[in-house]
Amino acid sequence: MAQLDGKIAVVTGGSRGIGAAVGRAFGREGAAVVICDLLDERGEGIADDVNRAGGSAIFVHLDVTAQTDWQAMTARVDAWRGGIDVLVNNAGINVRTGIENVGLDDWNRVVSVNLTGPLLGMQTVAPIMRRRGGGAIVNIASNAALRGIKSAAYCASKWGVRGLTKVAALEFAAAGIRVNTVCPGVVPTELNAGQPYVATTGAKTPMGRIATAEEIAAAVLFLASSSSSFITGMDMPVDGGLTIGMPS
Amino acid sequence: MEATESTSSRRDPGHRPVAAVTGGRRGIGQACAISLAEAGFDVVIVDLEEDAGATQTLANAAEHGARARMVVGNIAEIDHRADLVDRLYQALGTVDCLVNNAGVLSGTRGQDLLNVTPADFDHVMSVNLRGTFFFTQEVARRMVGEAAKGPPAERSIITISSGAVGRARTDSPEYAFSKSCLALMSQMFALRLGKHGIRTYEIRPGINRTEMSRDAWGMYEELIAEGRFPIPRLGVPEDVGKTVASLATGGLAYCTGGHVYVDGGFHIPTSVRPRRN
Repeated sequence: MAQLDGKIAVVTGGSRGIGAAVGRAFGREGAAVVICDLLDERGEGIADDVNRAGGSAIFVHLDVTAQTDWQAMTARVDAWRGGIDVLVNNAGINVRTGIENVGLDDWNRVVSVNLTGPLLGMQTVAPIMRRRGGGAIVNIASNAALRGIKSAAYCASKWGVRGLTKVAALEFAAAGIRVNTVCPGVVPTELNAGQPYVATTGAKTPMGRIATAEEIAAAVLFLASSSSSFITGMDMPVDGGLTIGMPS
Repeated sequence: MEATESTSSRRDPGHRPVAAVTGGRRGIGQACAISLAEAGFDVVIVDLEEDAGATQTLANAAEHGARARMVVGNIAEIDHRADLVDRLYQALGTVDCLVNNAGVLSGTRGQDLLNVTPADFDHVMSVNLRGTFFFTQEVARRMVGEAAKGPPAERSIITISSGAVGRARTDSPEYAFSKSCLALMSQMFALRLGKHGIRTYEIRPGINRTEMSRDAWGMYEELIAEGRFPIPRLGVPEDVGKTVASLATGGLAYCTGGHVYVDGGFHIPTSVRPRRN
């Protein structure tokens, strides 16, 4: 049996990169998938891919920082299938500046998308899951949530996602809603295209390479499925062992 | 891409990889063996005696179409480890996944830090840490040898530690020492074996309803009633079994050296009790 048969799953930032891989994997595993993003045309394309592969998906335009968009999205999903069982807060942006150079606008924008976005998502979706007797939420943080990097807003916002996840896990556990974080290592996506670390990180990694988006999606699938039914509040690095140390 | 290929070989219907589970005759080990059988593995359990529990494990695994075998031995007898691992490999020809589950509590359970004896300490360490380490070392050497010769395959070493890892406590310190060292051991093998395509994982179960913890069930039920467990129930061995099966089948193919808490959220550091609805 497919791992998400009969489940309705919402994926933010689903038009490309890790989010698109999650959407495709969920579609293969039997979920009705709601691809959410600002990039309408590409999101429609991912939903089409899922449908052509025998799955079921729609695209819904969503700015994760806008409460009204979240309300409109849930209304649309209610009309389509009725309810939400899985939420993947994946949408994220990066501005690569340190503390001395980060502009307040950039700081606010990154924190708004990366941290406030998941907050609004959980605020909107938790009552729906509560009414259905439970659900699973997976927040995508980053390896930068396990250590320091030079991008101030990104790093701080992703550490914030880990904290928010722990609060959510405690607050929602009795309602049968599990909340976990995935901390991906380096995955080649448009967000990091051209960054020097994409080429050099593989050699520093115990498994000797960087990740594919599909491998991150597999971890998200595990935490979204009943295979992880007693797991909540956890941070899961998916980084080929990068954060445990260096092989000699 | 490499991961995609090896994952697809896992789906070859004619091929059942082999999993070895230490301490597989009861409790969490039994659930791991059965879940692995359900996920498509043949299984070999390694345990002290072929009792009714062992027979049950093998029968349940066979119901899922697995070849199921038992190897009788004691991982703590490290002078015989080569012989034990020889017999393990002879049982079904290879080992693709090792589940280090065998473990003990000291005979005088719950001893205060000020009263633990060298005998308690040595007994727990001899099985949980010394036995597990040298058994893993022996299996890992053979896995590296097979990885060098054979076609690509998914290989993994999954160590069942405990929610006790890294947590200071005033009772049973020897148990927490042994399990905390297993956490480091799993990371060390991840570093050493990553380049051979062998992944390691560590699972930290919370409180499970097993025979080993029977005398503590009452205490834990009180903690649940107080709202100390975010997911308000004790764990069951199947919770760990399902996680082991997901890890062994490549569900987390780019994770190595990491740990998974299967504890209903008990590990979340908090001074706040979860809200009861």
